[in-house]
Amino acid sequence: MNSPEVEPQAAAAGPPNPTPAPIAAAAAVERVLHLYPKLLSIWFWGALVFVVPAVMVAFVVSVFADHWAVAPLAAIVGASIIAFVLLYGRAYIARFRCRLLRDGLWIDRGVWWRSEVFVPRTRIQHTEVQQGPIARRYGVASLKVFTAGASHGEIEIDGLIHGDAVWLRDELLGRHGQDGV
Amino acid sequence: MDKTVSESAPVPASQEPQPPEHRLHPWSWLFALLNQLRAMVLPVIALVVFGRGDSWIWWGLVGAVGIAVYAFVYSYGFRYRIGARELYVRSGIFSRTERHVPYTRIQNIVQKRNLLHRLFGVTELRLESAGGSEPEAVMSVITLEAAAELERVLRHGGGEAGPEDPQLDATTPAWLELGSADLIRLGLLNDRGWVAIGAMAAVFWQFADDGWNPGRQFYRFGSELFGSVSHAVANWSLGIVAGIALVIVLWLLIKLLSMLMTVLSLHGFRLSGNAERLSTEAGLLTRHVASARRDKIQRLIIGESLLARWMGRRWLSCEVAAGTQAEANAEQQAMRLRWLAPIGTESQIHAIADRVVPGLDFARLQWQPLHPQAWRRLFKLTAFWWLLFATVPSLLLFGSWAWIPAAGVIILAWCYARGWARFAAYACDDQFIAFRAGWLHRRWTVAPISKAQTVAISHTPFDRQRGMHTVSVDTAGARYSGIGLSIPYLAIDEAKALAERLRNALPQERP
Repeated sequence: MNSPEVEPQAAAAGPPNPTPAPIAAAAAVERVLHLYPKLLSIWFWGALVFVVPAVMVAFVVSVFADHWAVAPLAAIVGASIIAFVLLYGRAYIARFRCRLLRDGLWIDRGVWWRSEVFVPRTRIQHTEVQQGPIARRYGVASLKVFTAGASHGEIEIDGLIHGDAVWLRDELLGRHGQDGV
Repeated sequence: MDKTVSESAPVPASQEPQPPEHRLHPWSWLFALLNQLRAMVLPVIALVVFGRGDSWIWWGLVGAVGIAVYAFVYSYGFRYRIGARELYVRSGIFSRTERHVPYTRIQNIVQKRNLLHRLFGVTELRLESAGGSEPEAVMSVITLEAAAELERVLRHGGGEAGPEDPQLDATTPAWLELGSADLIRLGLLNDRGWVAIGAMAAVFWQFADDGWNPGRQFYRFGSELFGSVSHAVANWSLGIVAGIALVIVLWLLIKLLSMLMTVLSLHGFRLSGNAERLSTEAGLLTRHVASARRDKIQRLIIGESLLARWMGRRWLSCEVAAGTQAEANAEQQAMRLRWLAPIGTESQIHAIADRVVPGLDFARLQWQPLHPQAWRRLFKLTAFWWLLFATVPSLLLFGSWAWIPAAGVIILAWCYARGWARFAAYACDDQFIAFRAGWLHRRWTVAPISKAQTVAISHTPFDRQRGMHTVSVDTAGARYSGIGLSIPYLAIDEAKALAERLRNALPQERP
């Protein structure tokens, strides 16, 4: 496996993105957050953990059950899954932008199904930073932002650097008075 | 029973004299008991009827006595105190819960009075806040005067209220009252009868004997009926006539049931309001009184079915912010303020909508059409899915004749897409965002932009290919997830402009 290094602020703020954006053209962008670049290797290893045993089982089956076609088929399917994860994941990470604006959070993501969601600061009910065991090893975290909304009531940003997620959470807290509905 | 206790700091005891404690009505234990027993009543009846051994009844009695003691102690121990800024509620037997509920948190006040409540002159009062799945407080039961007093305090204790607001009760002039003609018409329009049939079927199912399969019985009954019909009328055209007659009879039966259900739930419907709150009251046997703060109304929804359109009627409902929808139970949802006008003419509905939401002028909304190619997208999408679901059954049923239903499905999808897109439009001004859509069943949704929780713009590969985007506005407490204020098939520039406009119209600071 790759040697996972924990570098909290390493890839943090790239240069602020100057391209005019639809939802937030006029607003001052305070900071642009990217996903953790090593996220791709996490996804790659994650996919490998599932694909390799499955392909191995297929090989065993093809040897013992005398279905020679199964093995190459499984290998092709497995390889394409890995290739898909790598390509899609790279595009996803490259496209992903999470901008902290003066008045809220603006999340732009997706490769085929793209969405840009704007969450005003005034609407954020609470936030949550989560880390699973593998994520902890890599120093990655997911940030959940909760609003009172019915369909976008819970917005999850997975794959942030832990330090970034905590920083964002602290930034989004505060300035609260009422219940925002 | 252990709920989280208190949000804001309680009022320091030293500064103010403690306001007097109130108790529930002396007969509260009876209502608590009946509430607990309600779940047991049907099984007990079933046991008695189907006679499965006498010992069960004794065990049931022991259980009932236990519940009665519990209900008595619980009701006796329940206390509430009306403070200057918050309500203080103490309840529980073994683990005592003390809650401080700030008045500003309470958004919905719901009262339920069934026949027994009315006999005793008492009411069950629920206080709900925007967050959480449980009501902040349930007072079961208190006298009508105590409930009125609490409602008065809640209105004025909130601090934002003008003290001159008149009391909202039966003496307030109504904004809308439904007569029996309206209810009959509404019964004809809606399909509440299905609910009754479903409930009956459920009861039937539950208490059926183990060896007795209701599904098989029903099937046997049906086949006997059809068998006798087909034997009696060897002529197949007569058979078709009999089938049609059966359908009509069933339809009439459902409509009759619908009327009955409508009268039961909406008899004496009354909408009233003042500067700050709205209140509705309805019900023949069980009266539901729901009230909500006007500034907490998230969206207005107007609906119209084909039948309603022919009769020149629509209905108007609203969504208030309360609880998270997934967690709130069905009973709570049903009791909440929802119907502003269960039925009314177009001008009536518009007038009520304008009156309920200050600043709204529904008739003057500037409706903008969607992308001219919207219908094509919808047609392809609908035809694809309908064909996908229709293909296998029609191939099985009709074999090589399957192209006929397939063609039918495509024509239907075409009609749907054309009709939907012709009617679909959105409107956005400085205060409101609105969307309407539908073919046979039409719906209008209006929300104050200030109530938007998030604004999103999204697109699929098909969208990008055709130069379209979707703009969605999320509000709190949306009952129908998804379709409410999601405006699809907008030209990209238009979508971006709309999203930008919505974003800028959102409140920057908390009020």
